[in-house]
Amino acid sequence: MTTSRRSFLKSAGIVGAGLFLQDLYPSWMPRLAFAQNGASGDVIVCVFLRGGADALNIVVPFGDDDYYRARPTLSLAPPDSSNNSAVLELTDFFGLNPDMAAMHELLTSGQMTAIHAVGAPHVSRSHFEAMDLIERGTDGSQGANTGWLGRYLSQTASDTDTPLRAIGWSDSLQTSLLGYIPATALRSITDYHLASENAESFQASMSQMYQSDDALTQAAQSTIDTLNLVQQIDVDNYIAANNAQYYETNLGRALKQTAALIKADAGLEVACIDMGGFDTHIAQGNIVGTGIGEFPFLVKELADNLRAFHDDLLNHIHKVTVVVMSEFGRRVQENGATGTDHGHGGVMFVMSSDLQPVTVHGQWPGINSRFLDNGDLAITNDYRDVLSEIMLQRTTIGSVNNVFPNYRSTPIGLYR
Amino acid sequence: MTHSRRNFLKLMALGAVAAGCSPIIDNQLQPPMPDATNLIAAQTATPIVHLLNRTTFGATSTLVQDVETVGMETWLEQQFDYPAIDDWQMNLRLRRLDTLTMTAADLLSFTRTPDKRYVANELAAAMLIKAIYSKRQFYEVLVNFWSDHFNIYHFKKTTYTLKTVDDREVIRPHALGNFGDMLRASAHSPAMLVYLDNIANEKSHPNENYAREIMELHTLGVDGGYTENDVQEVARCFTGWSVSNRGAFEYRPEWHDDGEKQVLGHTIAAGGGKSDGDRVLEILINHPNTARYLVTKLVRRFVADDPPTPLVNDLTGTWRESNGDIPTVMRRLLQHDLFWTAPPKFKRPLEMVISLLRATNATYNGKTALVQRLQTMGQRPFGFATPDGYPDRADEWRGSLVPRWNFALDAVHGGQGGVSIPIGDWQQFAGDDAINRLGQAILLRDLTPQENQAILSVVGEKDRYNQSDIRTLLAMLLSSPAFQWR
Repeated sequence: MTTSRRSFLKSAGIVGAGLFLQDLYPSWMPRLAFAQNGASGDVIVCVFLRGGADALNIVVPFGDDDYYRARPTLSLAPPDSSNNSAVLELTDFFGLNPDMAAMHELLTSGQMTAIHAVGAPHVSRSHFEAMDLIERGTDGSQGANTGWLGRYLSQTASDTDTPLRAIGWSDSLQTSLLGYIPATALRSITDYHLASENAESFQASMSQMYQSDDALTQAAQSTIDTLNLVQQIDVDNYIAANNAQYYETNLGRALKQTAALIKADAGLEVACIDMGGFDTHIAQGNIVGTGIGEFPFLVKELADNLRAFHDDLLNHIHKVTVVVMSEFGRRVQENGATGTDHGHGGVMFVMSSDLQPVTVHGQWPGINSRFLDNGDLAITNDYRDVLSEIMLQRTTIGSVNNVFPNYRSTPIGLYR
Repeated sequence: MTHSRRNFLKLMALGAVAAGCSPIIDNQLQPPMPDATNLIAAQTATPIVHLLNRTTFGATSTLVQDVETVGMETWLEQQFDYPAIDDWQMNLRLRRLDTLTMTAADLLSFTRTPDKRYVANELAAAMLIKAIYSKRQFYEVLVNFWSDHFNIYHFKKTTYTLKTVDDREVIRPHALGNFGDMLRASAHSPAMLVYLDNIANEKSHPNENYAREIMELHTLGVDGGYTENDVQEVARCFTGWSVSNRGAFEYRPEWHDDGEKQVLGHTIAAGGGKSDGDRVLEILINHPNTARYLVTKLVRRFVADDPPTPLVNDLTGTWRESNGDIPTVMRRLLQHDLFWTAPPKFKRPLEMVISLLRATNATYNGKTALVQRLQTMGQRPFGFATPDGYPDRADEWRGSLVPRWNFALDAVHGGQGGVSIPIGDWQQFAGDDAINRLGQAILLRDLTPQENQAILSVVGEKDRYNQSDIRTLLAMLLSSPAFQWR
């Protein structure tokens, strides 16, 4: 790869010190190809479950009898190895939805953790307003015009950022990425190619034309480097490592392409992925194979693909943090249509390195009617506490004052 | 008004000739191709090109010739007197966009999201048509500036449809008028009240969103000397400024906080009712920091990303003396040496797309495909979610060039919905010295040896270039660094 070698040599003024650097940071050495200042932080992958995911049937409080009272048809049985519709034990109180078995080992081996009863304190029960608030990372509708990841990216931006530094796998950019204009919305990495039959000669002529000593030339050269890179990644023929199997769904494709970009050292630092369908008001369903209901399939898709992502990236996963979140959880009491309505407290997952060996964080507020918040699981952890801790522990920013303005976070204790 | 009667008769005449046969109308409307025998030979941008690149959505070979004929001063004065410019061709192009003239009450009857989106798409398409084809180019450039300044996101609740009214009744009447009048109109604009949540600003639950943004973004600027306390007090003044269910401004006395307020050092006595908000508007309009903030933004748009202080100082004086009279300020700006020696401005995606369509004599038929294309390029008209409006500095738009190059490639190869470039007409440049002549027609100056070389390396030296070569040549010129600046 001539282009990145050239920029690599240019980048550092470290030609002589190359060996030394290689010893010190062997694993992410190749990322110097794009000479980023934020290079030593993790790649942050944010998976947003749109619609309000039913946290009580994802990380199930089987130790709380009120769960079974509130969910006469939708509850999942306590751990029982002879019952394949029983939850998988995480603690003596919480179990994992059995359709999410692919994630069980990650959770119990300290490579992933769950945070329960988490969310935004004064969030609306409207999807739009709740997502907007959470993605902006602010209190109320006032203040920030930007998203929390957009602010993070702006704060750590440099002249040598690549066009693939921040990607929203979506038709239009996620609110959380607002504020960082070069963030790219792509449905697929295959969008990143030239619309020309003679792409090669066109690209060569652009390379010749953009030769001044200005920022635009820099952007053009970085664009051309990225085009070459994307061409080499060849996602259509990408084969995941370790027999990892992604689904041919939006989630599967986005995770697979994110993995491909990470392996290719394309300069990716933030990826936002949406997964829809969690607004399960009617016939939510219990487990796969027991009749109607989308929910079991959704959580299985989520778990299987996160596991695939983990396995595929086994050699890179120490530089990747995945966070899974939703705008709110759902009503504790199931409704008359064997579904659940909009609620409040939810669950988040974090896949990262150096985690405390704790499978489920967070103080359980209880779901007896007297503990509920208008019928909903109360919040004992602010989502910003989780995100702040990730930012402080796994990126280089040092302070989250700009990322979450006017908010003082309390560490959850996710990390060692 | 004889003016519009004449237009009406012209419309009818054309309609009679071409009823139901839009290609004939489109032919009538097509601006003339650049004169291949009279191109601009100059090493760098001529003063006329500089002027036109700042005061229009893109200088073209034909327009440069027109301005040469009448002279720059006369042309500019015509542009200031925009109502006198007969724009019948452009009006004819808008003929199928039915929702542009609908009343607010009728627009509110669109409630399903796809229907609301239809209305929003029509306004966005109209914006593009006007930018490409209006002869009132300077006016349209200012409309775009003020649409960014008083930004309203198209996709929040009823802004989908009410923005059509805001465009028609707030931005357009005042874009080349008085700033105070525009601010007053904006504060009463249902779309703005919805967008910045003042629709729900009541005594028992004050909402500070509009109060904050009118100071931070519309008048004083973020460092304009207001405090958090001022934000709260201004919010109290605007309690009850809401929107009726017919989409009109409505003051609700029962929502108003009628106590005394302190705003930026002024005491607003108790019992003022709706006039509290009016008082705030006058305080902001007359505040010295408003003059400086607005002038700085105008200079950033028309002169340079980093506005030169002497020019800002000078124009701040002009603004204050003229009480925010936009034509007076703009005349002074356009006469200033610092305007004429200004460095190039980087085209934002919208400016790149429009100038490309103008330079290539393209037909745009109002289809939504082009609006969507701009969305993927990052600058859909009225598509900026936050109230600060699309940024206006090059370093905020740097990033990938792929969307620009792909737009140029798609446009010349017929791959952009709603757009067609008359490649056949461009073939008149195919003979001798084709590369340089095409360069002169598109870039409005001679090609540099480097540009020439880069293009030759792809198409090679030929006596006569075929249609496919012409497409390639155009795509390269439109993707070149030179075409990304104005």
